[in-house]
Amino acid sequence: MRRRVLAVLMCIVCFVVIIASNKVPTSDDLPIATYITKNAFAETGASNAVTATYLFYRYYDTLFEALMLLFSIIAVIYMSIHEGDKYDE
Amino acid sequence: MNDHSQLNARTLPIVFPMILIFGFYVIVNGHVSPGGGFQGGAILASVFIAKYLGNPIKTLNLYKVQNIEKVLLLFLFVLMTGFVTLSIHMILHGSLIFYIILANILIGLKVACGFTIIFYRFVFYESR
Amino acid sequence: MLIDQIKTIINGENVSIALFFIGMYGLCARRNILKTIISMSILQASLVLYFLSLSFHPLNVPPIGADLNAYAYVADPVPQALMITAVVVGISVTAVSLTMFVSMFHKYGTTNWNKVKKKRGEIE
Repeated sequence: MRRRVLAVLMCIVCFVVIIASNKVPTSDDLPIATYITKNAFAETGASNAVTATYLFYRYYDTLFEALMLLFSIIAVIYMSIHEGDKYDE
Repeated sequence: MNDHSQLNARTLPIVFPMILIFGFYVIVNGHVSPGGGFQGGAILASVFIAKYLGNPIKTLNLYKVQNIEKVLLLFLFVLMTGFVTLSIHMILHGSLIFYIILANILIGLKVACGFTIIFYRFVFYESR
Repeated sequence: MLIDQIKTIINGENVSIALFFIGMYGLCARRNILKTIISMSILQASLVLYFLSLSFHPLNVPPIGADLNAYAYVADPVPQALMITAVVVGISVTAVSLTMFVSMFHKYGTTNWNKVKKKRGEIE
């Protein structure tokens, strides 16, 4: 019980501190977003700027995310092997 | 799930082609409308979940599906790295639509294979 | 007056920070393994909400169209493209941890961290 009260107190204190210190305004000029929304259709031909972003400007992100999905599937298959299953190799 | 309901088994096959068409629509139209490879792949994977709810098969060969997924990922690597690092995008400046559609289709099929494997693995091995 | 002040306080960033600490509390104070996994999912959802609400403006239009220069306020496409990745990563993390939990449950027969540790012999 005491541990839970301590955890609640810690979380509330951290929340209040972060909310109170969140006063610095973010900058209004977004250079990457402005460049992409201006030039995405001219450079890639795709009118959806999000697709142009994750397939052209940030394509390593998509590539290694697909690789990570494959790794997680390998982990799921490897960790759920029980002995004596007839569906295994 | 051995005693599945007859209602599911009779009515769910009507929905299969609609889900398939909607999934491929989301994938192929990813460059002009909201959507893309990941979302359409998740929709395509829901076909297999509906198939299991209607007709609970136990003998799907998951290693074949996983090999398909690995081959699709290899194609994706070859396509992306080859297309962009060989600077073909500078030659074909402004007309990358074919590259984007092809990459969307590959990502969609790969994500569909992956979610199918996760679902069937949970069903086969964890529900005992 | 007070209601307007409260409405300005409740925006996406503050709600996401609150969600983050709710998930943090679940990670700290709960001993159930399933609740730990759910707390990790809540943390991930709060991250997605924070990134999407960073560059929010009420007049934003979605970044789809041939001439986006005609609009004064266009939504930022970079966090959206990154958050697609984050969602799929969260799904795979949840799947792997659920698989590990199920095999652990078959082996030890409990969902409590301390009982699992006791049965392993790490603590008395």
